[in-house]
Amino acid sequence: MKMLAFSLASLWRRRYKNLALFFIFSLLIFLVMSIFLIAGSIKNELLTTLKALPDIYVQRTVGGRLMPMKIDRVDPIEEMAGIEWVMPRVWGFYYFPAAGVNFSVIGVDFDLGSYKKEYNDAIASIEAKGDFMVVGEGVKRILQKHYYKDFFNFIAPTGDFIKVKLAGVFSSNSALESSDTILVPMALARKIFAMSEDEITDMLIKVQNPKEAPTIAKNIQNLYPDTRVITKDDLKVSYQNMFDYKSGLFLALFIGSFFAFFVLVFEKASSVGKEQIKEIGILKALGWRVEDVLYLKFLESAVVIFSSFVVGLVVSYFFVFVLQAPLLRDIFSGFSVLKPQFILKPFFDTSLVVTLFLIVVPLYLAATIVPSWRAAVIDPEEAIR
Amino acid sequence: MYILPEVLINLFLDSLLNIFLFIAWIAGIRIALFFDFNSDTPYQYALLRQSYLASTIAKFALTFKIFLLFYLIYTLDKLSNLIPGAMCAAGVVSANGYGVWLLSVKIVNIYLFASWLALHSFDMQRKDYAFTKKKFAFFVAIFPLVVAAWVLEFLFFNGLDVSKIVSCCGVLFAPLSHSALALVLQIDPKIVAALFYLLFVAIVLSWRRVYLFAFLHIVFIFVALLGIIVFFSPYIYELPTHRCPFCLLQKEYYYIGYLIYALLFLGTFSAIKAAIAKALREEFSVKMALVFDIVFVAVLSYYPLVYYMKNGVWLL
Repeated sequence: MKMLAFSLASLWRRRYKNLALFFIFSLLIFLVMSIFLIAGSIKNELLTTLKALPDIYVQRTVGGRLMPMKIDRVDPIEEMAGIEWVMPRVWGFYYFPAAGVNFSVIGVDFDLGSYKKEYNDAIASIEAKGDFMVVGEGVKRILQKHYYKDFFNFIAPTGDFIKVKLAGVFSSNSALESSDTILVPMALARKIFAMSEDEITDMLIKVQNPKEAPTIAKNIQNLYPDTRVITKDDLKVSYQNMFDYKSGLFLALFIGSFFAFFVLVFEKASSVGKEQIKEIGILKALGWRVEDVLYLKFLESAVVIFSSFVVGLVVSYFFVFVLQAPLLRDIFSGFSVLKPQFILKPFFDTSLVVTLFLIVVPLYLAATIVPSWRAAVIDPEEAIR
Repeated sequence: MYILPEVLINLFLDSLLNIFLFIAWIAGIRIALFFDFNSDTPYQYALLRQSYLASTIAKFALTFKIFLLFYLIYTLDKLSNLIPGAMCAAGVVSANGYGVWLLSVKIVNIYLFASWLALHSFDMQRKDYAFTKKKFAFFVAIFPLVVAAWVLEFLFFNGLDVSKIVSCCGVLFAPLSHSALALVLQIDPKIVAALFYLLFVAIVLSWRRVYLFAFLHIVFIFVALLGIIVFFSPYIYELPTHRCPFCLLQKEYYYIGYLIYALLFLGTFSAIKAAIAKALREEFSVKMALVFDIVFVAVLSYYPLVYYMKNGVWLL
């Protein structure tokens, strides 16, 4: 304890040098931790939405590209064993050149309802007739910016204008996925994409027992060999891979900068000033052993790195979850103009903290070993002279 | 090779520590060969100064490596989410030929590292550097194992194929499979449990004879591991067919495995340290080892007892 007080006093004597190190490391820890937290938070969010998704997607591909398929494919699939329901969908992207964005236009059967709770809530609150739409919050912002207050003109592939009333706005728990969504009646969606009455974009399937999903997916594939069948597990694995890859990539980049910091700390700690040499000389003349000086130096660097670790951690939590990570979140949410206004939800993951601790703390302590030793073996007689 | 932050950190930290250990190793060879406390040449003076650097590095790096083993096990456990078929670290370890070797070498290493740290702490208590030569000779000798573990780690992570299906622990530790391990696993759990408790009693009784005490502890490491696999783990999982030494590291069992293995390591190592102390005519009480042993056995015994109280049957 006395040793700790002594090392704190020693740090305070060289406060500018140590404060500089403290700030640099706090900043580094803060940056890395923020990126981990944003990635972790988005991953949690995606995994929650994944739970609500249907088990199987069926798409038709021609030459590797998605194509519409005939609606009469729905019935044979519906009759297969183990399937709870099949929902044909009509949807697509609509490019709005004035803002340079893509809207996801989704055809919904406003009488039957949808597989998504949020869509159902939106549907239930709407009582409109004719061509109307319900839009996500992001879409509404874009439309208002371009002076479309209560209607929007879609331009069909044939060149015709389709005037659509804005009937309402829906919000979702997960803004990430629905900010760019426009819900329209089925028939209108077909009109916007110039699809014929018996065509659908893809199918969603819910199975009775999720464990059977891979088998059912295989059966569908056999029935219609030109389809691409995607299960929920496929999606989950690819999400997991994507986020581990993204944060792993960052870490790989950061390891380069860690080495740079290693050199910096090494340099900073090696530059033992005249004052300090004298100080250590006096300590040794007073009877301190080499290991006592080493211990003192170890305590000094431990104090610096632990305090900057704690500060970096706290600040990154504040930055990400209270301030919602301005600037940094854009790396993960993409560069689209229609950026979803999502909220990063707080979470705590012990392994994240341990991981970060293991990158930074040993590195710093290792960088100070050799300089500390150099200081500790100074000859007292030479130093005081 | 799979880029997972945890894997990168394992490799990065091990590499960093090994670069430092290499510096210490070079100095260590010189010290082990030429250190002579009674000589008063400038070379001896330089060696004495270097010995401080080398032992500080070794103390720092080896201590860290002991913690890093637990982190490696955590990483393996996390990888089991990605590798098809693996439900815990057991599947990941068996994913390629290097896994079992990696884990074995690492476990042997932490006992050696801890022994070195014990030797070092006894040396620092002396004023005449009596054990300095010995401790560096020992360090120079164990360094190849450090490098071996490092190479194995690279080979293991490099050879990890995330698309290849591996076996889950239910298959690996099933008594009916045809492996060398299965032969040991066929032993009746009652016999293993009896052996476990008998050995524990023998350890407690032998506390006055330190060498025997330490030897029994080394045997106890293996018996305890076997006991965990065939006797205790089914009670922890509350499932008679589930025998696995890795699943108990998972969240579903409140990470109890980390506590259990840490206690086993601390208990057995304290006994070894007592034996080292006796060989060097230093003082180190066996009480520490006994305390850890008793807590270890108490934690393990808690599961079968509570299971019996709740359900009124044994899982045998």
